[in-house]
Amino acid sequence: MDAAKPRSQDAAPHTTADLQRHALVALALAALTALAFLAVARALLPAGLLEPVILILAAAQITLQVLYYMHLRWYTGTASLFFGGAVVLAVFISWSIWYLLIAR
Amino acid sequence: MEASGESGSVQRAPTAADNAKFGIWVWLASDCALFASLIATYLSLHTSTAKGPVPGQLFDLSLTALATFVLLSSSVAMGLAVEAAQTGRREALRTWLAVTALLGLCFVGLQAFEFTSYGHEGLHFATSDFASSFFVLVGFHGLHVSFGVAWLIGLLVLSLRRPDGLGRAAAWRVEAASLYWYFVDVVWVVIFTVVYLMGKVR
Repeated sequence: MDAAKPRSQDAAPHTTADLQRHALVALALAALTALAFLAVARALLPAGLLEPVILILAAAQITLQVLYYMHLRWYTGTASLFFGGAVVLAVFISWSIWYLLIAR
Repeated sequence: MEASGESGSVQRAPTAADNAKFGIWVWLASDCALFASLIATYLSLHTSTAKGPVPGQLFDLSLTALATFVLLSSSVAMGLAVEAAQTGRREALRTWLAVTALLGLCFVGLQAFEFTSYGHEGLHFATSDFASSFFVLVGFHGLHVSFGVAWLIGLLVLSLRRPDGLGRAAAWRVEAASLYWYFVDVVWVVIFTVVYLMGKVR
């Protein structure tokens, strides 16, 4: 790879499947966002359950954005479950630390 | 990134990132550290309201939801701009860059309106620790969006001034801007979850 001449990550034009995947991810993000806001606005769940649920929804949104929009994945092009799992795990660990050390 | 092994075979690093794109990721990581510290500060201080307005009473979820969907739509438009850049479609690239920038401006406008309305309800920067940390965190994010809008306008101007637009060879410039834009969106997901949604729940 010639470092002096950066190239586009995807040299070939996106296929229809790529655009469809992009559209599906956009719809999923919109649905997750709407669900999170509705869950809080309409008090759909008990308060103790609501916080973990909206955190999970946020982690899912972040994972989708990072993997499918920002293309943080292995060079083979496959969305890496490692990164997705690491994001979700990091959110839970951070929330747990915050809840145990700060919120109480 | 590639390196030759002892036998002369080419070995590829797992991410195989271009230097420019790798540099963008390193910069985003540093920005992530900034936002992490601001979010941690907010989480530590959000209960110190000093007899001023409290989050649960203050936040208007409908306005926040509107701003979130505006920013989400701008990410979709940004993706379409990247696709147009990679396929060399000049008019589509200019259109989607303009749409993304416009949606970003709408988001900043909504944030400005939100801050003004909070001012009318008695929440100012120095009202309480919660107010200071809130305005710094959300204000910094708004500044990041504004910088992103300026970047996109710069790309748009560049595309208009050159007869061949940005061209496929320069598509990485649009990709670099898109990484930053998506990062700003990811940070907003964290902010609206931790600040607005959890502020309403507690």
